[in-house]
Amino acid sequence: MQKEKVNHLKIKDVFISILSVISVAIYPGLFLLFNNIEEAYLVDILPISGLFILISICVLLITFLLIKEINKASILTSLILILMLNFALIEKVIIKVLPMLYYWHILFIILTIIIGVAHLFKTKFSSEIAKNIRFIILVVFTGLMIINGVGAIPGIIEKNADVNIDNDLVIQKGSVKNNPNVYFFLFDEYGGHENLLRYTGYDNSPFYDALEALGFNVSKNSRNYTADTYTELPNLLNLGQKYSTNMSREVKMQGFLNPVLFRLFNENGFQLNIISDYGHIPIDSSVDYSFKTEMYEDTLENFLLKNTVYYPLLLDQYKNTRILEVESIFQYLSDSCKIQPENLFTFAYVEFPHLPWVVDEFGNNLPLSEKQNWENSDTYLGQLKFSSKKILEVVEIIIENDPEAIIVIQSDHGYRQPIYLKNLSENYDDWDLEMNYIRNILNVVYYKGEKIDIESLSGLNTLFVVLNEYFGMNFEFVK
Amino acid sequence: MQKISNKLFYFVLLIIWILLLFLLTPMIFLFVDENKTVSKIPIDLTGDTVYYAIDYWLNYDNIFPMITIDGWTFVETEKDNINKIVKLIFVSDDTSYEIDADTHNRQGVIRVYADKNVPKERLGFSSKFSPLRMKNDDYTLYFYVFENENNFGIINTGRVFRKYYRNFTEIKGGEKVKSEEFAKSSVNGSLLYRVDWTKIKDGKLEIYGWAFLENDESSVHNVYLEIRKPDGDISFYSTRKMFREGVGEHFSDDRYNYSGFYALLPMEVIDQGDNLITIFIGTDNRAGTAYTYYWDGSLR
Repeated sequence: MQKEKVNHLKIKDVFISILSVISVAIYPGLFLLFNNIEEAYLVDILPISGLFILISICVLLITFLLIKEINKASILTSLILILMLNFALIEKVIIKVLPMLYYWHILFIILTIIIGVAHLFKTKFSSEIAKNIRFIILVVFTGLMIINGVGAIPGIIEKNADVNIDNDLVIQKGSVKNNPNVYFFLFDEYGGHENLLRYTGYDNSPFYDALEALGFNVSKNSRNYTADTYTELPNLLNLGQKYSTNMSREVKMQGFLNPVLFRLFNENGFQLNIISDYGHIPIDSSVDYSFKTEMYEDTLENFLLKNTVYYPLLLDQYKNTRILEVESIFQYLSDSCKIQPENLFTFAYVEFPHLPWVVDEFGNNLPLSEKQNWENSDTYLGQLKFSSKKILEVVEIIIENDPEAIIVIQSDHGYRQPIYLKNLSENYDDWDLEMNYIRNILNVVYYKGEKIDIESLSGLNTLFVVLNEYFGMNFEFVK
Repeated sequence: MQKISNKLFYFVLLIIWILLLFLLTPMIFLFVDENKTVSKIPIDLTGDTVYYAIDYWLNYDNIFPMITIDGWTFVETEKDNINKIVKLIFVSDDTSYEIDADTHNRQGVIRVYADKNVPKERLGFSSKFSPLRMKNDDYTLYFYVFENENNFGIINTGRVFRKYYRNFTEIKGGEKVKSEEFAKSSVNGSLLYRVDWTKIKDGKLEIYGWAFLENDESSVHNVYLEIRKPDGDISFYSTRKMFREGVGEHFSDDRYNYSGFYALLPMEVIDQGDNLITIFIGTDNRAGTAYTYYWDGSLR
């Protein structure tokens, strides 16, 4: 009877100890989730919190083997987790007082503290006190999670509320029955021919020649109306100049919700295949196929990891992550022609060769601090050349598999070096002239290998030419 | 007896711990290539004119902070050398460090300098080093270029970098300096200066000019500004060194080529009315007169 009670108590202790360390391990993730509930989802923190739980159980096991008392092991594990998961914050505080210390010194000091505390627990602490402290840890962290969770409830309700979409636009019906696939790729910051010549000194003719050899129609002097992605992109997607630069970002983002272009194709019997880099284009239920990336730097996983002892290794991880994302987008674009042989509209917004500039023209990693280097145009140019190669690879595959396709490739604006150098003591005499170059875009169209005239047309007017030709519609040019 | 031996044990443990803490960095750098040695190249080496540009410098802040500096540099020569040497030399008052740079081809530079004897190859350079074990100090960057035994040279870029423990930053001018540092300064009659302009730019006060000590090399000195508001409030600011070949030409002395200074100061350093700007060279030499800047209170 007595033995049974002892065993029962041990199991209870083990259970509470595990719960206690798990509460410490998952608190940072839940804290971030609840404080960003409008944009974040539980699934965002599941992998990293799962990893933290796994680590915490392993550490608990090791400390238990060393101390041989589960309650003390639980407290020590909690301490280790708190120190390691908040390493960067602790380091910052110590560095303020002792700036001569480096990462390895802080790690050494923290390890010493852990060993010291472990020794203290083993020799000086009674099991009963340890049990109480362990219970307090469990209660405190659970309480904190509940408080944060309750605070997030209004955000959860708001997130799940219905969004009103402006549906008053009349969608034209086309006359095409057997629809070849249509691809519309938009590459952010891909400079037009004149733009590149002016700001990088690079003649991009080989790229245009290669496209023409594949059957593309090219316009080297096309210009959009602004240098603002959040104006051009919603206008392109809604087939009109509905949005302007002086509107707020929130208003312009409404233009991404079920836009006219998507509905036009949808209501003409197309299925939608949307590639949304960094999640700029919302993927709703009207979309049949989709591919989405998100900025690794902005993920909850990154926010969690950059506070931990692992943080110095994150810089490399971020750099590699971005180029992996970009590679995966190009791979998905190449595979899009295999989704279905007809009636598929593929739209891709790719924030590339836009910064962060992470690769040179051969795809080799650049130092992380290059990622926003506006001063050296070679940094941008390397990434642009790399994207040109990838674009050519993609269109070669599509044309080979789907020669009757229509492929529109554009950018929203060119390389905007003068805008960013304007504040860096660089002077430009004629700002209107510079804007003229900055608005020079990439604009090429493959129309079943046929010739169509897109010379000097803006991105929007080029779309009208394609839609009028393809569907027999009557969109009028905008100025 | 047991107590004493316990105390001794903990004392020895503490000593070992402190020693380990101190030796951690050198121990770690046994396994990391710093690409940096103490320099013995004389910075007053007479040689040919060095042409150069720094495309960018980056602080790759990882576990082991690494600095990358890329650009191009050459000395005119007709004899291309596969063993061309480019070294970056960081010079402070106490210590100099040299960093080996790798070279590569830069065709664009040849086109720009079509009128010069530009070597056909190895114009570009790329260097990477860890500043972690450099002494805390301000370092002026020099380039040493050895094309061949006949054509070589050294040049002061005028760019100054501050190493302070894990931070390695370029001094842009305009940082506040403690007034105590100028406590021992006195008026030096051989200090010549001119403030070329002061103007408000992007909500900051921009100051540009030159200053040097007669018969003294200007590149080794830093220029500071003392700014006295109309109400008598005083503050001190650092400046960025500028290459002013014209000053050297005007005074027929190349030693004044680095007499230029530039600073972008926060607006709170001045008040409406007459503000007095006094030039300091180093922290000891004060100009005998002050430059008066009248601010009408507008931000234009």
